[in-house]
Amino acid sequence: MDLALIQTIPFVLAFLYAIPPLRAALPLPVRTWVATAIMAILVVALLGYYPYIEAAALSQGSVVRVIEWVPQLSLSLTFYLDGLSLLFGLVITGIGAGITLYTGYYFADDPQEGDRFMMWLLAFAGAMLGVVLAGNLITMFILWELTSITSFMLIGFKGGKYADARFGALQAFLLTSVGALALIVGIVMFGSVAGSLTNGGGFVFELDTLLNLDAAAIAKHELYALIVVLVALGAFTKSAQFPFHFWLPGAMSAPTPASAYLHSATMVKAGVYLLARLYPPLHLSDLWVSLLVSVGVLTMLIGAVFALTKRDLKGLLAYSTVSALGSMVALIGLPNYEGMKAAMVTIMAHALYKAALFLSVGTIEHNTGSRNVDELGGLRQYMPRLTGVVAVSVLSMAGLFPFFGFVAKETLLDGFLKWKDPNGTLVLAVIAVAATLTVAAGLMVFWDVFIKPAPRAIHYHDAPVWLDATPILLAVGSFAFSVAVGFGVIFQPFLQTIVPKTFELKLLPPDGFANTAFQISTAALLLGAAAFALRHAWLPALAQLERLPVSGSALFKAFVAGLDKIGDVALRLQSGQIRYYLIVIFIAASLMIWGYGAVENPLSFFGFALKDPPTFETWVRTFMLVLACAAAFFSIIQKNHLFAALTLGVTGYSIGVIFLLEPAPDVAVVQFLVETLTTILIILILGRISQKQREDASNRLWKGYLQKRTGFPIGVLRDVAIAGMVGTAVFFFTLAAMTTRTTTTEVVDCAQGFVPAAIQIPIENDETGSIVIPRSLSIAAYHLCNTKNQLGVTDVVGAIVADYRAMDTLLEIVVFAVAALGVLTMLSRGLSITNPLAPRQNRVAILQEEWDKKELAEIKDATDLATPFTKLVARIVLALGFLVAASHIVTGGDAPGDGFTAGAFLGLAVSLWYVVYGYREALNRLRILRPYYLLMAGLALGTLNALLPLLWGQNMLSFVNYGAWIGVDGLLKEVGLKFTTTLVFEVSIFLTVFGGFMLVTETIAHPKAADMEDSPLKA
Amino acid sequence: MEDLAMAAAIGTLFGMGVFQMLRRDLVKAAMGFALLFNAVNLFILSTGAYRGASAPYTTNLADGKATSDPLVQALILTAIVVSFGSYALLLAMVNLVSRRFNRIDSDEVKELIN
Repeated sequence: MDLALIQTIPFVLAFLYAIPPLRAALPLPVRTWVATAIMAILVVALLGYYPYIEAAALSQGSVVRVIEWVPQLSLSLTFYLDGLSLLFGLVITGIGAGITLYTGYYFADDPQEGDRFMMWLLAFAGAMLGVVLAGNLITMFILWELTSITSFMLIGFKGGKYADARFGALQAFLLTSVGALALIVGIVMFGSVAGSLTNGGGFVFELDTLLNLDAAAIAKHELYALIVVLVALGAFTKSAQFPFHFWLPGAMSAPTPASAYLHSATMVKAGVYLLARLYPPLHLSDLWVSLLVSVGVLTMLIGAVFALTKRDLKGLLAYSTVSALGSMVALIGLPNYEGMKAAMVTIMAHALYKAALFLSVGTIEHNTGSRNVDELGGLRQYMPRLTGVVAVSVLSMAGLFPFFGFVAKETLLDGFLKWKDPNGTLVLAVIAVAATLTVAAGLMVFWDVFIKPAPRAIHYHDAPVWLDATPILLAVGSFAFSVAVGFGVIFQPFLQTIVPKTFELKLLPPDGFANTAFQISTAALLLGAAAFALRHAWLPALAQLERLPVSGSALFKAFVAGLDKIGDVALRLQSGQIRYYLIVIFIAASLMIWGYGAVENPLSFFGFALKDPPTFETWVRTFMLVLACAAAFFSIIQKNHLFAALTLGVTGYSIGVIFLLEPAPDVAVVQFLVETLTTILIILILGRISQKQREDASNRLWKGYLQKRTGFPIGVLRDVAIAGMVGTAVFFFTLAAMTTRTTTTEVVDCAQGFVPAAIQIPIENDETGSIVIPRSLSIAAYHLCNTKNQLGVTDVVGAIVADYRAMDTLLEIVVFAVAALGVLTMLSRGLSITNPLAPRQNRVAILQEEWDKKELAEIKDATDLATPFTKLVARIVLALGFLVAASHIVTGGDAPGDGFTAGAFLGLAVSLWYVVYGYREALNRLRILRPYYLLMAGLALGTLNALLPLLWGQNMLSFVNYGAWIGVDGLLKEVGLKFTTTLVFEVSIFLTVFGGFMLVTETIAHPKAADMEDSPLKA
Repeated sequence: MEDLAMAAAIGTLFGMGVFQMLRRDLVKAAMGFALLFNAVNLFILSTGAYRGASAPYTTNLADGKATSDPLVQALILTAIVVSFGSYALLLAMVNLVSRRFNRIDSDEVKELIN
């Protein structure tokens, strides 16, 4: 199976589990089995690569699958599979299949939770698989982070109920993220070093290049030490190495299947994987050895000691996992190749016995409600199968012959024995102590829980039989693997995956008791058993360690609290009032312009600006501008909202006249129509706000915010200053924009031939050295010259809207539709007091009551102006509106008006109906015209029209003459029509704009939208 | 001269819009946005590269007449409609605040929330 497919499947499964109707398609046990089967298929698919990898192992063979994305930038999705990734891939999919099955039955009582859990678990499986299959360090990093995120969700799975789950999730996430930050810096540095070694520059992140680099050359690079430390930091945090180990026991608040899978078998081994993966290019230095061996061995000891202090079975297993992870890291640090071999064997053995133990603990908790050693005992009579499983797994963990853990421990000791280092003996002694403690911990799990009589009665209830399937399989694995080794199967590609050397793997040392490793491990077993027998003598003393004044978790808490304190200071700057944010933004923006002005001398612009002598038109235009400003000023000082709205309308109309004088007929028409609608809109809204509220607000209009304290309208003065500052800045900004370009009144010379100007703009240095960009090459000239021959229409503005910049327009009508729906949502649903965003529920609820009693009575339907005459007018206007709209669309290509004007005109006509007939009647009479349908039709048509050109092999939004394609082009031309993409787009603009306008008016015209039981807005 | 008048008007309208936006009366603040929209549209118009006296139709061009800049007009055309949408949204929000808090004074609403 293709690696890309293998990688995708878990994500697809997670997605299917995420969507209720999809997962509900299969009943619970069936979907559990299907998911398990699919994961199992992935195991088989990966095993399919085994023969190839085995055959090519000595030459470090690998499978590289490249899916090119942007080959020009050498960006591609690469998968890389060699012995190491295959080993991890098999662990992830194999244990994953088992965990999937276990999860399905573990959550049998609460399928909903189970499905949610399964979704995250499968998403994690995909991410983890991605980490080991990624052929590129950056891709690997992204998936590495994804494992942290999914792990966060799984640890905090019960965070809704338990605070420690939330804390554990956060702690794990923050710690691994800090490590990941170090890691990404290390990766980028490594990429640049690799780039300088291969290409003479740039970055290289592809694994098949990185792994073949000259390790000696890298070790000599000045960044080498930093890279090793940063990468190791990433690996240490992920793999819970001292002093970051404490997140792993904290993560035990995850449901047990997650603990077994993520926090024992796979994710915590990602750090180990990373170190093994980068071993070939990075291992050649003393730093590598000393860093990894010291941290690894220390972690091993600490994990083994703290495991014994735990009475919680999961905590115990978590610390013993920490210990095992330490041994793997230390082994990868060893400068001899036996270390790598031992690490691989340990990974396999650990995944088998530890996952089995975790799952057994999960079942114990499921069946008895407890996982505390002190509360449990004598479980062998209740769960005979699990007793066997735990016995085998514990013995494998202790390293007893003939279980696979024994092989692992022998190879581990062998690796350290072959390490010729002055500190070798010390390290070996520490390892022996850790091994002894691990034996004692293992026996505690088995004996105290299964054999020793229970201290008190246990409330036992049985679990589904299938819950035992996975632990049994894993325990069988612990045995079967060593049998396989006994028969000479040595998992060649896994062992020599990183180093090109043939290894041997023996079940029993050939020299028997003369073998030092065998002696040490036997001694550790006996001592461990003895220590267990005498545990009552020393365990209470050791348990005191739990009460250490300094623990990692406490330090972490203090650190986070400190960060919070800093956050509080920052928060004080965040007043929560939009006004202050606006003030900061405005001042900052205008200061930027002022700063530019200080450099460029703003006065120089006046020279340009004054160079044209005033004509008659200039005076008219200036008059309109003055009128606009004066009206705006009156709207500001006017206390009455209604008059303010009307004077504001005068501003809008004056600007419409400016557009007309430009001349910009299309724009002017839309401006007039929309301004009218805006005025109607604000009048309607004012009708919905009670007189008292408006008066209250008006009366305080000039009372500054600080007046309470100072008695002086300081706020108003401040705002005048800010407005002045911003206004002048905008003034100079506009002057600069207008005068640093060459505006021409010449006729466009189409003979020049226009290429899009942005590409062609030459950049020249004038004598003063500044850059001059001649702006006369506007793309507008291209539009002017080509509209007729390319689109067959004469209105250039319409052509730009509907064709040249159609993508813009499409997005804008979507925005408009969304805004209209937003109005609807806010005014129908948003008013509901059940809105979760409503602040201070109790207080607001009282206000709501108050409102219902008093204010509602005061509001009158401001829109009822029905007289026979107005009704007649409304009818005529609507009929006329349809005619105008039709003509605007059809002739829009050659005359003023287009979809926007058509939509705005009809919107206006409809809003007149609401004003004249009142809400209910207008709604009744216009029942056919439903704004939702108009919006939907408009957006669907626009999108379809954008996509249709693909059928003609053209790009999206290209121009297509549908008429010519159907064969009616000539016929249509007779009547002066053209059936093209442009026309269809105009129709879709019209429908959307009309629907949007109508939706807004309809919603706002409703006087008591939220209060009417039969309101269509409630639907 | 014309440029100067235009720039002055744009600056004035923009400044007044900013002043309005900072009012505690939410209706007035919403009106400030309307002023800003107008000022920005005028600004876009003023950046046009062509200052002909006839409308941007290819027929005018064929007749040898200088036309105004079609590109900025197309930009404004869509901007006007979208401004209306945002303005309606703002006013709906004001309406929402008025219903929920029985006030349209932002400072008082703020006191109610805290």
